[in-house]
Amino acid sequence: MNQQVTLEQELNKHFHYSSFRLGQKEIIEDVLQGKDVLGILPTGSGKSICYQLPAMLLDGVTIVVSPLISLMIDQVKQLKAIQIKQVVALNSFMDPSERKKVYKNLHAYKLIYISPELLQQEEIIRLLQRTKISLFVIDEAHCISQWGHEFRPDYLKLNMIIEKLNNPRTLALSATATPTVQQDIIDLLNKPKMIKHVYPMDRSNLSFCIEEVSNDQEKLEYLTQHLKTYHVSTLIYFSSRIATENIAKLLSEKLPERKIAFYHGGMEQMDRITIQQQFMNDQLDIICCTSAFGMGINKGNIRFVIHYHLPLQLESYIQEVGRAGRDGKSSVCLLLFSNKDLFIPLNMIKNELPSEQILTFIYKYLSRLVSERKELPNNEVEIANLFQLNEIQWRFLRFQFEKHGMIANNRINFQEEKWKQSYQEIKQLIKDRTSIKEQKLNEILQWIHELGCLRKNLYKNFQPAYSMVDDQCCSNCGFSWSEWNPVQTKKAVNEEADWESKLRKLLLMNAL
Amino acid sequence: MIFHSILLECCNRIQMERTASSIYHLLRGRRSIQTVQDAHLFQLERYFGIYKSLTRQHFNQTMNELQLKGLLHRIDTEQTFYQTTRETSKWIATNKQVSFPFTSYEGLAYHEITDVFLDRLVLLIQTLTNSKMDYFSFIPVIDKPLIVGWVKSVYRRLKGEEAKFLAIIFQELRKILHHFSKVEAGIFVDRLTGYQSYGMSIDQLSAKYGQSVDDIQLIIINLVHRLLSTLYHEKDNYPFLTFIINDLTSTTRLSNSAFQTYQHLQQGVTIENIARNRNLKINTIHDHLIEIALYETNFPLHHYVNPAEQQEILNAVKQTSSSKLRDIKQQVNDSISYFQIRLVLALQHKQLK
Repeated sequence: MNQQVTLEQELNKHFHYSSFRLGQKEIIEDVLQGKDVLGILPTGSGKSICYQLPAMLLDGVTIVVSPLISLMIDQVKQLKAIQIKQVVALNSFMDPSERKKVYKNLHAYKLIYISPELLQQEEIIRLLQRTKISLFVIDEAHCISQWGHEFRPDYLKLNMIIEKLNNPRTLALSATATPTVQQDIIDLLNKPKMIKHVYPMDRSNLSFCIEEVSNDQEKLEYLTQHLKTYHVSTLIYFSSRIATENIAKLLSEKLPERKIAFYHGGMEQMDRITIQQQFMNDQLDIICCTSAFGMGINKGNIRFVIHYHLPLQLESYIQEVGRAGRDGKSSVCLLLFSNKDLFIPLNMIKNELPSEQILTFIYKYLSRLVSERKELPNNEVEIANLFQLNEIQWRFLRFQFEKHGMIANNRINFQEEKWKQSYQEIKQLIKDRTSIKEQKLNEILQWIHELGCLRKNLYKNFQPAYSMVDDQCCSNCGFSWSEWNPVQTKKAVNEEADWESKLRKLLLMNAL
Repeated sequence: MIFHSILLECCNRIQMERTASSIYHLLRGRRSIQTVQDAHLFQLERYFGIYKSLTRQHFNQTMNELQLKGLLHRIDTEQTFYQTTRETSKWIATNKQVSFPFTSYEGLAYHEITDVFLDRLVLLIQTLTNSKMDYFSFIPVIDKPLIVGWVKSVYRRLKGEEAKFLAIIFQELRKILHHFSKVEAGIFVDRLTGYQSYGMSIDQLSAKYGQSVDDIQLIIINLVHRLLSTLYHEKDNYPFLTFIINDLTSTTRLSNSAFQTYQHLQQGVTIENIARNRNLKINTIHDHLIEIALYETNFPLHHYVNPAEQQEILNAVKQTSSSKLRDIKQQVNDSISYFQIRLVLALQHKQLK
């Protein structure tokens, strides 16, 4: 009883929440008792508290491995915003002098976010070995499994790293992991005694709606019509950056009374923060975005999440729609589908891995470097450019080359027989990976053409049952727009003040 | 149209003397001696570093567009040499916005402090307004460590007196923005972030003011250059805004590495020994010398090129009426090196100014 009081008080003291959300406390208690834990918690349920609070309470440093640099940086910003300052995000984009400064002072931090690539470097491992690590956290742990939706080869080395760091207690977290992926995580981390805490990810306040249209023109008309009716906080997901910009522009023309912006990973940092915060602040009604938007964003009143393009798998779809209705109020998830869309995901899958042709080219190039007694360039981006690969493709290949002993620290080790064999193996691996992704795409296509309940079939691979639906279930069980009546955003008084009054209001606030 | 006008003006000056890359490097403000020297040579100093976020892809695309419109003529397919056409001057006459003060850019002078000034001001305003409202969980719009560090140190001193300093910032900004057009002042104010009110992104400004994304950024840079110039001339009228850049004005304009070379030279070390000691190529040290020559008022040219050689080079420049090094080199005695020619060219244009 005593401990219970303390935990809640600690939560309030550090994070200003008065109570735990479903699952958080159970996981934290096990972590504090020194157990290894696998936590599967739906998006938006406050996964990060599960390690942030222990990090504050445990003596020593908590390491968090996270695959997305932008996500790490967001988390650090949010922690600093609530006055938790002993946190840092280590990644390869950091200024080297800045990084050195942090390296000298590792023990002074409570929480260190780090990218899996950086954890491969011996220097940081050596420094961490001299630091007291109280907790090792693997965020987005599904990345370790090739059956997960974002397989990251770097994650496969984590078990060795945990060992090198003298086996600190480990917490693996994910929002979406099927039972197969969960078992994969436990096996690959080599932690058979891991305690599983799995919480259902279905959300009783979400209604699912799939609308088949014949082309993009119809999509736009459909969107315009419904966004005109519903003036609510809305996210529209696209699979390409250029589409977010184009549709945002078209919608702004058709709906001049709505405030619409786009967001994608190619924007300048300042503009990204600006758009994100305008949305949080209800200065914007609609954001047209790629999957880069939303991670780590907690906005309660998003009512409407629309997919303009087909997502690549059910997992990412579940995560993206999970951003709707966090406040528990009735919200709608709409997916627009046209048969013409199919080539987009197929192309994306093709581009994620290098083609056989490129693979052959790279082998030839590497042999040439060997014969000229040269090493690989130091700069990752330079290498990717050289081989005409995107970063993901090169990361995949580098891992394979290292695994087969072909390269080590940019030095190339040539052995003809071995290289022939590895070529065949990598080629096969690419085939396998592609077919897994195609399988995932098939799953979502099957779901779209499902005649039965969409909710039941969306969650069936992740959990045995789902809870009672608050409002309307889905377009297969019967969904009518006229019965969805969310509270509408108040019309902003659109006074276009002159610059001087605006400046006065901005800087003097009360003096207007 | 601002971006297109600037590109065409650059092409007009440069013509066949350099490839289009030189314009790209000029606008991005590349810190290479070649680019700085070109800026002097073609009298394009004011455009140096005014568009730092310009990508190679977007630059090439825009040059292609201008070519398709018949405003530029590309000479060969291998390299990107462009000539302006008869249409160019007509286009410039009709499209160049006369009211836009192209000549007020001062890139070479301000390119290093432009962003710093704006970033510091934006983050300081966000910090002070939020702090005044006792709201500390805001997400800073600027996250560059150097800017954040500066704002933190200043904030520590101003804490507790937010209202007073916000009033001062308001007075000074209001006064200085009256020097600008309504649209310019509007863009500047819309970009600012305060308490529970985030400023507009470049794309949003572009939509609101009906200007291209390129032009909005160029308008902001132009505005800041004029603002900085006003601050230099009327320091006393704008004590707080001046304070924001006070610590920057004295920084040397030499690159770090050139500065080290400069220090060695002053101790009397020879070029060869500097190269050996610093484990650098002789060519790199030569680049440093040219950089030093461009900034140093009393550069001892005669140490490196004797008067007869200087004259020979200058004659060759006149004869070839070109600034291509290779053309000049062919006209002079073999004993004269490229380094000597570059040095003379660098100083020649400095004296012309």
